[in-house]
Amino acid sequence: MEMHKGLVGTAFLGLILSGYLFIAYVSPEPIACISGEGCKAAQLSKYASFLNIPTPAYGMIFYLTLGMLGALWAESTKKKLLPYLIALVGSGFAVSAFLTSIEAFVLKAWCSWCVASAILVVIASMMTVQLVLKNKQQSYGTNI
Amino acid sequence: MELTSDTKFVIGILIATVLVIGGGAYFANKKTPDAEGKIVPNSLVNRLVQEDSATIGPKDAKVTFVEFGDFQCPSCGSLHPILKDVKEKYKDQSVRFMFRHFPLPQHEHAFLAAEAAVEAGKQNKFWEFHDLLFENQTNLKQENLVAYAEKIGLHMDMFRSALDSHAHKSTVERDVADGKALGLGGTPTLFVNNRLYNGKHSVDALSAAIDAALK
Repeated sequence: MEMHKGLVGTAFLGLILSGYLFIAYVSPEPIACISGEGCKAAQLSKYASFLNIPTPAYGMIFYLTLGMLGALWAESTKKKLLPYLIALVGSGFAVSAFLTSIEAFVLKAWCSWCVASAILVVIASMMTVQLVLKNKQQSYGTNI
Repeated sequence: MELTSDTKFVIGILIATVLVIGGGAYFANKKTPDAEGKIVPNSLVNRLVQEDSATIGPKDAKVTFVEFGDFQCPSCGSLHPILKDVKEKYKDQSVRFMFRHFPLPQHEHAFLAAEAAVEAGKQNKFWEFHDLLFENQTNLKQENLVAYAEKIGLHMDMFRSALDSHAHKSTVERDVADGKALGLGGTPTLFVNNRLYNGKHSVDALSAAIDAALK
């Protein structure tokens, strides 16, 4: 099995997290503002959706794509897949950093599920950086 | 690119997960919440209705509809136009609407907004002020509150003095204490007579609960 297990595992966990948030978003239960419960604050804010699409749906697309890239990762494919991985994880990191700063400075409330997702994005970013460095080392090694 | 059986398996699992989530979202969306919540015990009924709270409707109404709300809570903001329609619908019937304050700690302007609303109530303009606050709930700093008070023609010296001295802090604190005693977890929390309302926030669903209590 050649796939990148770390990326696949991270993507799978992220998919479950964003899936839960997506289900919570579409549930018709009356939504309330709850003391100390940051997830509701996040869910009720204008940042809970973008272009009328729930934000967790973007998370699901991100993690699904990450999982696909991880599953397809192999010695023979990694050169071709690395730019896509960098673009995906880079944009995911930027969006995650933006949403985390919204929690910290605008909503002043922390949603544990969103924080967990942000941690997964950081883990995916670290793995991507590692792959980039490894790729550079290999290129350097082939060049000399 | 030739896919190995392991790769196919993992991709299949990922797609299956997305499909399960999609199914869960579909059924969650179809679910209808049970409108009837628990009844407030007799020992706490006196914490539900305070006679100095803002009301619309006859004092001896058959149905008392109580909202515990927070002017900075987005959910209360989305309920506001719905409740406005419900109030209009029942204006000639034996229904009294009451607003109780439950500003949440994470909403930094909500407590002062509640104090300001109590002062507006003292000047007999609570509901006009209440509407303005919900319609502008992202702008509830002290200067905004003053601007809204001016807009509806409140006595400004009295209003400013009430805000500066926190003259109505104890009233808001009493409402919060009542809410906590009633077991409130958040806002908006609604009661139809002595029963907690758990149903949908729509004119039809709220009307159904009020009609049932009117029978």
